[in-house]
Amino acid sequence: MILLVKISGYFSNGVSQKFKMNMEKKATNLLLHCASAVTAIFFMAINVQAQVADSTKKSEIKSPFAISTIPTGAVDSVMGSRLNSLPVTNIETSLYGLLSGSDIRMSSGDRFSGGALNLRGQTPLVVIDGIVRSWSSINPEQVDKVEVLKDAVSLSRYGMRGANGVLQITTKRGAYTKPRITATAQAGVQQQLFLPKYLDAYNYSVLLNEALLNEGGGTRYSQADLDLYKSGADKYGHPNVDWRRELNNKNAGMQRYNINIDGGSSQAMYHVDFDYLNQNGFLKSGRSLNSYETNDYGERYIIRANVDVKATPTTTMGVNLFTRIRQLNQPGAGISTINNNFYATPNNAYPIFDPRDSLAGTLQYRNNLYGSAFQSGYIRSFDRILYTDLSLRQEIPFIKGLYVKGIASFNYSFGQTINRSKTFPVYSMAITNNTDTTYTQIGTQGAQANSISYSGQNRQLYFEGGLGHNYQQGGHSLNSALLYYADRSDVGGSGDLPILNKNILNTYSYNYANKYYVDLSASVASFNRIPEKNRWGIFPAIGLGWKISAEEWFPAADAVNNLKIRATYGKLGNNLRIGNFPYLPNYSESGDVFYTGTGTAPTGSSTIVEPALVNNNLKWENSANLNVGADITLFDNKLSVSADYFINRITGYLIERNSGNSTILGTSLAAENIGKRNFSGLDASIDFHNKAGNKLFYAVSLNAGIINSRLVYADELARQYSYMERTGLPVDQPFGYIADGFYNTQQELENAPLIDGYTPKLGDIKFKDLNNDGRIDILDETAIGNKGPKIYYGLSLMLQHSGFEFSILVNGVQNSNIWANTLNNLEFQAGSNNSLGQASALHMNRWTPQTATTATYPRLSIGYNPNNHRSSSFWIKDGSYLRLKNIELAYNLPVKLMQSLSIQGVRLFVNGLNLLTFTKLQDMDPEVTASMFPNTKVINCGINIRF
Amino acid sequence: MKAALYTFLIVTIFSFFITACKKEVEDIPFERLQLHQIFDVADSNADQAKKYLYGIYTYLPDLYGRLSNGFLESATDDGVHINQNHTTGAFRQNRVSPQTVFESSLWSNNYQAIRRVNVFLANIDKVPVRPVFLKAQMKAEARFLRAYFYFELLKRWGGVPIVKDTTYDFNSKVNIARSSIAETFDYIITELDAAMPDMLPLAQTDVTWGMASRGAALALKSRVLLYKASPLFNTQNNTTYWQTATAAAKALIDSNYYSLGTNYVTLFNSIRTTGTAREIIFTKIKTANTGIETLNGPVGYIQGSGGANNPSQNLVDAYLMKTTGKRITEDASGYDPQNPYNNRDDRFAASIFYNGKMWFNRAVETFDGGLDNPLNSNNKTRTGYYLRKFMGAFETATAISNQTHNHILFRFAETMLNYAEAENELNGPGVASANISSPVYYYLIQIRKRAGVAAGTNGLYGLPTTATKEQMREIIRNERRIELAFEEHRFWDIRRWKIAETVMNQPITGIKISGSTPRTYQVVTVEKSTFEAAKMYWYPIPFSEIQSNPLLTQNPNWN
Repeated sequence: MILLVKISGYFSNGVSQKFKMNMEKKATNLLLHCASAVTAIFFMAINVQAQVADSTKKSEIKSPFAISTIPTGAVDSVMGSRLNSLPVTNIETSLYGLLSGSDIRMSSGDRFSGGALNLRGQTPLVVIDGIVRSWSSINPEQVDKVEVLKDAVSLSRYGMRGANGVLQITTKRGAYTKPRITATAQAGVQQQLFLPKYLDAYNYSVLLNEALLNEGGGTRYSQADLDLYKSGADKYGHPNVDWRRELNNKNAGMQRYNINIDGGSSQAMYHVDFDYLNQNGFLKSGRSLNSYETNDYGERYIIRANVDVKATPTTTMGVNLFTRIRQLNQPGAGISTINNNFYATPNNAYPIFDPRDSLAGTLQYRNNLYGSAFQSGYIRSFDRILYTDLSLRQEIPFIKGLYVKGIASFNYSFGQTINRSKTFPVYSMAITNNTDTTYTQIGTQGAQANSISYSGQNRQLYFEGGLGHNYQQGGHSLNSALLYYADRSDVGGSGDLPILNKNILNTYSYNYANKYYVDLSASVASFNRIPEKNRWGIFPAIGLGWKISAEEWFPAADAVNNLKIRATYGKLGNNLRIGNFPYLPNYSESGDVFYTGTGTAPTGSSTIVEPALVNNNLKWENSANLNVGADITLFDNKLSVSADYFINRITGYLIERNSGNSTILGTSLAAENIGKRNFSGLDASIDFHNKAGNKLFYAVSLNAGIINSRLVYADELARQYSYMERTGLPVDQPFGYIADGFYNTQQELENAPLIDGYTPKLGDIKFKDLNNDGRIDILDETAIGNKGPKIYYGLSLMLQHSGFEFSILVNGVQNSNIWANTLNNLEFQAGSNNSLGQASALHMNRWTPQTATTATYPRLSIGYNPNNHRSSSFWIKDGSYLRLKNIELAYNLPVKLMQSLSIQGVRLFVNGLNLLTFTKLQDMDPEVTASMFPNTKVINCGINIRF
Repeated sequence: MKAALYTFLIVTIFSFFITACKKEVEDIPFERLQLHQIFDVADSNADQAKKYLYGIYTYLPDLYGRLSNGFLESATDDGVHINQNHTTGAFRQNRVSPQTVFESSLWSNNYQAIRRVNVFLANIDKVPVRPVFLKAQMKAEARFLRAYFYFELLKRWGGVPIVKDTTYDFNSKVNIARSSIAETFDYIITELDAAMPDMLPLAQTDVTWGMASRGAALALKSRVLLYKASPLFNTQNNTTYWQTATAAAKALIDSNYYSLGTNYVTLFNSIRTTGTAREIIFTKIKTANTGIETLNGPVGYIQGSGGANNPSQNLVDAYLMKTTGKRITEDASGYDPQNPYNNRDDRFAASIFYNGKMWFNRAVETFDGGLDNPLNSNNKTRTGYYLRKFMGAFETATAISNQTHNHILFRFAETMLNYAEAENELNGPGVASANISSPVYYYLIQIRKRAGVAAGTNGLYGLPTTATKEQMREIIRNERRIELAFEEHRFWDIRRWKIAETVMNQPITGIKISGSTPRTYQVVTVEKSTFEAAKMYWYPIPFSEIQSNPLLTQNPNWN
């Protein structure tokens, strides 16, 4: 302990003095200074002539990529092998319910766009093998473990970027064994979930007539029309096309094949992984439809090779190579357009073909969906990702435990899209004088496009170098490290200057007899996109831990195997919201064009736009993170419980000021570091595993997180009424009118308050006039929906019995708000050319004079209704759900069957994803609410062979 | 010692690694233009400064459908928007408040534009503009534009904060009180007077067409002074205000450059030709497009079927009879209620789609169940009319093509009407005569003649042989309504005349045409209109502005 105080005293005095004097001096000065501090430790270490025990086994090679965990930190992890049972394409979507404090939400069912991860209320950084990288869709077979880093000491490595937490993926490395080959083949079926229940032509027409009457127009369909829609006798004049059924298959296949080989000797270890994925879209396809492929399928190839080599007895070298090639195909009209048009095209819009077998259409509906899907050419995109990392670690002879190490990494991604789409004509059929049939052509048979575009050209260069020292004597153990990294990325091929994050990190991790723990760390970080005077910042953190169960006085009862309490506190930063040199004004030529001259083609001059007034005091956002936790293990290590309480206080959150921000200023103001917001909560996990008898092994684990947020300061101007105030409420609290039933009687309507911009009708949503001024306006908007903390939880169960394995995973969310007035849930929304969109079963129970008392939906309207469809408490729904995320049943063939074939093991498995959902929402997925891509369910089976 | 050496070596090599990295890119982006590069002491072409000035021009209003596809007239008794919940209708029904201000963005937009003028004026002297007179002209243009933007504010909010030449910086706390209406008028007039001597030439050439001219400044001054003399502002009916208004209109007329064009129909979409050049004084130039045809065309046409703005029966009834020059309600006007669209002056067919009017080679059908008034849709005209004005001459065409749709901000006909109005208020109509010695008659006759109204045996084009000032006032106001329909005049005219409380409290009407032969025409109420005289002559100031600027006071009765 004394030793430590001396060291840290030396270090902190020196650094802070120096730092005060030379805030603007170059990183190198600091670095040398820090280095000398570390050197001082070495000499002390030599002086005491420590006999450092060799911590690593002779045979295993310690990979230079390895990152040690912080004993006082709040870290939850899941092993890669757990993720194997989830048939997903993106690693993030396999983490549901597995990591405490985290929440994952898919915003779209588009299988190649991932979900959004939320960790303690924020979006964390994603780190793969120690380097901040975007999480590309990697396969679980190459993942050793996934961790969430939640506390200040664990995050201090990321300094000015660490405030939001980190999701850390560590890939698999080799093992000291003879070569092991594992091959897996699996195939599955995907199905779309919570498909909207669109109405058939008859019901649609009835509802549309009603809506038109409501809006003051005449009815569109006569009784004769309705009868024909009902009978289906006139398939050209009165079509009833279930577009999704015509275009989509109910099931879409997916296949994945994986081979990985690992092994190693005392000289080298390797893990090589090859993965192929083929995921089909739901569109129909085949030679009978067209001569080219239009399905929205995706193919993905991944190769990873992680190699560690012992170059000399004191030198280890590691190489990681990762490539991903992906190819995505879609119809020329675009799969998202087609998905949108499912909703924009009612069943009676037009038949697929007219009697001449030409594509049908009307003036309003010009893009025949069948044509869009099968006759619009195709668009194919290719993207490539390349990650290469090289790492070296050199043990310094003569000084036990001292090493230097370095990492260089080059990451590159690139995408290209080949557009071979084309337009097609549709024909509008009309029967005149009861006999003549005329066809009007709309659109033309266009030439096929042949163009290429490029996207996602990202380049990242990372360099890390450092010194470390592992010191052990008696009960004392001190791991110290000093490292520097520079992380430079050029994003998006825009030509903007690269983003450059530099960090000097100094860490000390001390413990005495594995009983008392002290972790100290400090990052000195810089970011290139803020004013020079503010570029560098210090982010210190401290962690303390006490393993009570290791005390001699602690009762040596069998019941408690481990009891540890720990706390961390530290300062972190967030520079991710800063943008591209926002403190430098840019008088860009991006204004409206100014024209002069005569004729049909006047001369255009570009015009200069005045930028926002810049903030020369711009800084990163600060976060002070406190985490207090306890771990307890009971009953022969069978039951372990871990709980963490946290408060993250964010200050200097970038917002525009409100006070004095009058538009008379004549321009906008850049954001300032004035906002304050707090996030606090509790994460906990419980694991229990046991054996029953000789053969049954079972394990249960439960984790949950409660997250509370509070908007502390947002420079909010005085509101007229206290219920309008945002400050003090949860961050991002929704505001709106409070719905108060429908206008049921003429009298209610006559006594209705004036509504800003709207004349109410019977069956419209009634809103509460909170200030009783006879007007419904912004002064009546108050916090709506749930204001309580959000709760996330996951439960998993695993059973093993003589070769059989069974696992189940459930995840859920409580106290979550969902807006149900997204376009895909509203009726008769206006599309292009005055076309009207679908209506669904949701709208059947609409308000009519007869159903006034039982209606659950306002009276029908056409297009966007500014009263009924606006965001009010009527549309805020309880988005809580419980989902049976995953089940797997597997069987391991008896070993003796395969010995003759030199096969180590064969495992047959069946698993599924998103199998059951419990939610209060009607016909809506609780996650994918706004996207036209429905969420999917997967049933999958496969075989895994180990040689 | 060996160990120390070893460590030292490593640290040295390591730090060398960091420092020796060659600089590949600059530290901060140099591609960004800074203010001193816009107003560059070496830029004698003033290339960048001109782009800055041009940016100010883009703040001039886009007239045609700038309110979410709506015309300002759809908030008057001249028309409605096809969507009954459109912002224009909401305004007419008094469904606005300081929280939801009609045209709320114009408060900030005009102050943005004013700031840019101030930045321009504060910096342009650094630029060695050659030729020298050009700098004076550019400054004058900027000051003219600033006057224009203040007038935009004045029309809506009355007296507004005048920031003069102030350009606020990041740390400024804006706290500025409103000037009075009189002070705001004075500021605008002073600025225009200061700008005009420098403003050369009187009209812009073909190449610089679209930039401000002395004509534009004179036209703005005429309009500003006419407003100032009008009852809303001139509450004491001070005749000297009418004198200055007359003089301002006369100043432009006497410049002897501008004149009426020959064809009212092609005026709005022809390119600059000799016929129209002399009438259009100032215009916001646009590339040729089909925007207005698509936006406002009757709903039954494939060539463009937005049908967005529907003129009202109130406006239709205001058009004159072609052969008599009389209003339809006057005796012996020649109006036939069974053929209501026959024999109307040329401006009617040039401005309004009515049942039977040709368009893309077929007759417009606005009768019940017609192609442009389908029974089965709510997306159709609410009044029985569509807006024809500003469109290309597609009456007999089959395909649509791009047309010039420059936004006319000032044209000479307005100045003539300004003059007639001010002169009538000052001296009365005078002797009935087609001679310039009776200017009120003379200018009305010029305008009616161009509109195809028959001269009549007395050569007065339907004007009465004797008229009181009040009678003539009504005639001038009606002439202004139909001549300048949908050019953003009616909205302001009914305010400055203080007649909004009358005309805007009457229902907006339309026509219901049923039966085939003969058709029956029935006037129907389309929408009720409300106008609270106590507050609606002025817009409310956006609430957020009141909050952030403590000295700012709200307009009466808007709290």
